Amino acid sequence: MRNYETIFVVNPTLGEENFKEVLNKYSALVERQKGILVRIEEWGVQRLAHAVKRFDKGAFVLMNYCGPSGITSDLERELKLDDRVFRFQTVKIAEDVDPQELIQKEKDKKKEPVVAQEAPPQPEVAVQDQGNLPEKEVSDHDG
Amino acid sequence: MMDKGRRKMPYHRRKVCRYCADGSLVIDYKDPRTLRLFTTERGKIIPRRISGNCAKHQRMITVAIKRARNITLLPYTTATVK
Repeated sequence: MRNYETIFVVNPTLGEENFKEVLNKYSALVERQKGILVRIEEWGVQRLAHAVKRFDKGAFVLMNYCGPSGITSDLERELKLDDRVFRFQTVKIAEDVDPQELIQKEKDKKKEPVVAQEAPPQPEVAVQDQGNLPEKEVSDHDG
Repeated sequence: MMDKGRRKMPYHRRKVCRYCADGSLVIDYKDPRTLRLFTTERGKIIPRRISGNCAKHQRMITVAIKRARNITLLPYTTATVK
């Protein structure tokens, strides 16, 4: 199985309920395609580095999943047609992985999050948490 | 004469690729704060001869920056005119 990572940016004005619906839709889609979700991260509403479709903020969602090689094409087609999602990107991370192993690793990471992150000598770079990314300066350019 | 020579060949410290020096650092397109170190204020990618990265890691950085730009974590450029 291959390991993929998809980030998509959702319209920030949707509201909690609709946002959850988007999340559920795509996690269900992955599972329907015989994929296995490793983890879902919600980064919350963030300022974009550049405007996309007149949005200057967006709600980021990161999905890490494993699946057969065709899994991304269906997911990407759905994302493309979805009005609520205005940017997405899929990256292949590994070719041949065991999904259970990855899930186990995720669990281990959750158990000891602080100790593992403070070990590297350069904490400035290493201790960055994806959850609270810094607010970026806005680059306003009119569409 | 000394001055002349010095002017011709300025003292030049060979920079070391920080990713080679420290194996624990990873290049991740989801981490714009680190990638920003390798872009100018305008958002352009800093060349290898200035950043000091080795070819392999510079390549990884350029890919990471381009991915980050695509999902709007990094700017393509900064536009001053509104």
